[in-house]
Amino acid sequence: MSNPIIEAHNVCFQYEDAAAPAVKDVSLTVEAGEFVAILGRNGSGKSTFAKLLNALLLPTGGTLRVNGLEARTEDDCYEVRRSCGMVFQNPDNQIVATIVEEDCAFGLENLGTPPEEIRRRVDEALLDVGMAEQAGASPSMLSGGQKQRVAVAGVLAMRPRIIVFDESTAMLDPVGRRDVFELARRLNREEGITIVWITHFMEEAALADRLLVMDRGRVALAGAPREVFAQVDRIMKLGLDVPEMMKLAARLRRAGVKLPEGIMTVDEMAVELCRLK
Amino acid sequence: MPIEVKNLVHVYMPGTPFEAHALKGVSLAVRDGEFVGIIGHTGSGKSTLISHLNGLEKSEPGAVFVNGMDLGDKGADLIAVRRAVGLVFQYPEYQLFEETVAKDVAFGPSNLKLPAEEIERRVSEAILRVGLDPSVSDKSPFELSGGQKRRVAIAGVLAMQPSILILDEPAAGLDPAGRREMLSLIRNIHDSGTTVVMVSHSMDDVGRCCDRLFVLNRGEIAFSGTPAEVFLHDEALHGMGLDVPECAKLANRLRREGFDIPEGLFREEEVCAAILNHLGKGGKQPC
Ligand SMILES: Nc1ncnc2c1ncn2[C@@H]1O[C@H](COP(=O)(O)OP(=O)(O)OP(=O)(O)O)[C@@H](O)[C@H]1O
Ligand SMILES: Nc1ncnc2c1ncn2[C@@H]1O[C@H](COP(=O)(O)OP(=O)(O)OP(=O)(O)O)[C@@H](O)[C@H]1O
Ligand SMILES: [Mg+2]
Ligand SMILES: [Mg+2]
Repeated sequence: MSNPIIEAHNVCFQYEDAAAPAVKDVSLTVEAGEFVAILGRNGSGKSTFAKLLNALLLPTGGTLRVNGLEARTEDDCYEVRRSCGMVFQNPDNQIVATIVEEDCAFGLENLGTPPEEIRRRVDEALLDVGMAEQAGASPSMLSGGQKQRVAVAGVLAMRPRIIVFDESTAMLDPVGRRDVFELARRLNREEGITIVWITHFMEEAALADRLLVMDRGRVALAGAPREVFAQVDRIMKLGLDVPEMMKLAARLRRAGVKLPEGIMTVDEMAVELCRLK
Repeated sequence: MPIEVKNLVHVYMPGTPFEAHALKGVSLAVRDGEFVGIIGHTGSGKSTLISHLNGLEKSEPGAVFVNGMDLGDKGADLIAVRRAVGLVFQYPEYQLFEETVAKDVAFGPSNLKLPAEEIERRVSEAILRVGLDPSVSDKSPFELSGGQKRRVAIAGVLAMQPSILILDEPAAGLDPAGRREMLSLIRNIHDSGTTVVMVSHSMDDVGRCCDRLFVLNRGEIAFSGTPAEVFLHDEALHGMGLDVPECAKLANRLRREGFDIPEGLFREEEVCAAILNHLGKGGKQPC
């Protein structure tokens, strides 16, 4: 049953004074509860599209409906931003308060949420991202990675229906990266929050329900990770890569090992190899 | 020895409620011509450590030696140190500020009071070396893509002709093609005789590039050794916020499942060979 939460019809966006649009004729639908990853080379328009979803930018052409609403007025924009939270690439641009927990509470305070509800949600969100110990610390004392986790907590506290993560794991260590990714997956599975996950890590993309690959403002490829990554030549031409395990699988196949197509993760590879043991 | 760090301590905002012990007695040495990797959880002190390596920060107690020179010495020639050590910060593209790429790259060498022709020569050489087209020289850095801007920032450091190059997460935020190009650029710089120290969160990247790794954990060196030696400690690394490369994960997993795979393998080709060997296909066709 179709229940679209993001509907884009020929969406275009051109920055002022730019020679060409950054987002060009993008038409796509994201179903409520989906976990969609967006890939694409630097400058392909991913962050621009993310800001359109969040009504930080408004389309210069086409129509974009987020959670049933097309942002036309200022009020619409606030409504869209409440239902579609966003975690940016650079945490320094979104940390506003001088104490971690105040930063997380910022959005809720603006909405006039009761203090005890703010307290509960902020504590929970900080615990979720592993920053509860630093609740009283100053964000300026945190390293880049720690700030990023605080930013994630701030958005989580808003309990939006959609969360767009724009390379939110780019500055994290491997465990932090997996924690935030798993957090997004858990929110997706257990609370049905729709996730738009922008990333340059193919291993993360492999675990999404669906991939959208952008190139020069357009959606160049779309489909299940297995289908998309199977087009190795296209993927490489688009400035991307395939997951490490797919490369190893190809190498093993060339050496005569009979492995099925579409192995993307260490788990899948281990299971298949154990069958041959 | 290009770099020697002895019992380095760094405390941010001492005596305040925000006091942070970022480095708690770190000692390490980087040998001539080495490619060293520094890994560690976020906040483990990596950026703090490398900011000490060209005298930007001072340590009490502890000492940092660059090419045998004690940076804590009153008479230390910090200009010579900054010439020897090229430091590329995290997200260095945010520090570009000149109106053209060429001017940005020339900024460092201009401060060295070199003749104009020498500066020009170094600038065009550095721009070529980082794989940028010479035609970008007259463009504004702000018209370039993220990966291109990163290269401009690195070119600015290379134009100083450092004998030691230190990079803080040089591939962070780049697309996979940009990441591959950046790493091959750094490897080329290393192959031409420069000592390299690279901070990274990518276990695959440091595994591929580095001769030796130092693992920072809460401001202390937890492990050091070749990547193969360090990646043996997969569980301990995990406890420190780190990981091992994908192929090492697979090798460890298969070993637990009863595969006969030697320890310490993490490269794709060696893990592939070990799997083929175990499956009895080893002799058939080498990886
Ligand atoms: N504020 C801006 N003003 C003008 N042009 C911009 C602005 N922001 C981005 N652009 C341009 O729009 C295009 C798309 O940029 P965008 O940031 O959306 O790419 P991206 O896919 O997110 O890249 P990355 O992987 O580097 O984050 C690029 O050509 C970029 O230079
Ligand atoms: N300017 C500062 N003032 C106070 N404390 C700081 C400052 N910069 C860093 N710290 C603290 O020092 C410790 C080490 O930080 P550092 O930035 O060196 O870590 P890092 O390993 O580079 O982290 P990342 O992987 O996130 O870049 C952290 O606990 C951090 O909170
Ligand atoms: Mg972006
Ligand atoms: Mg750092």
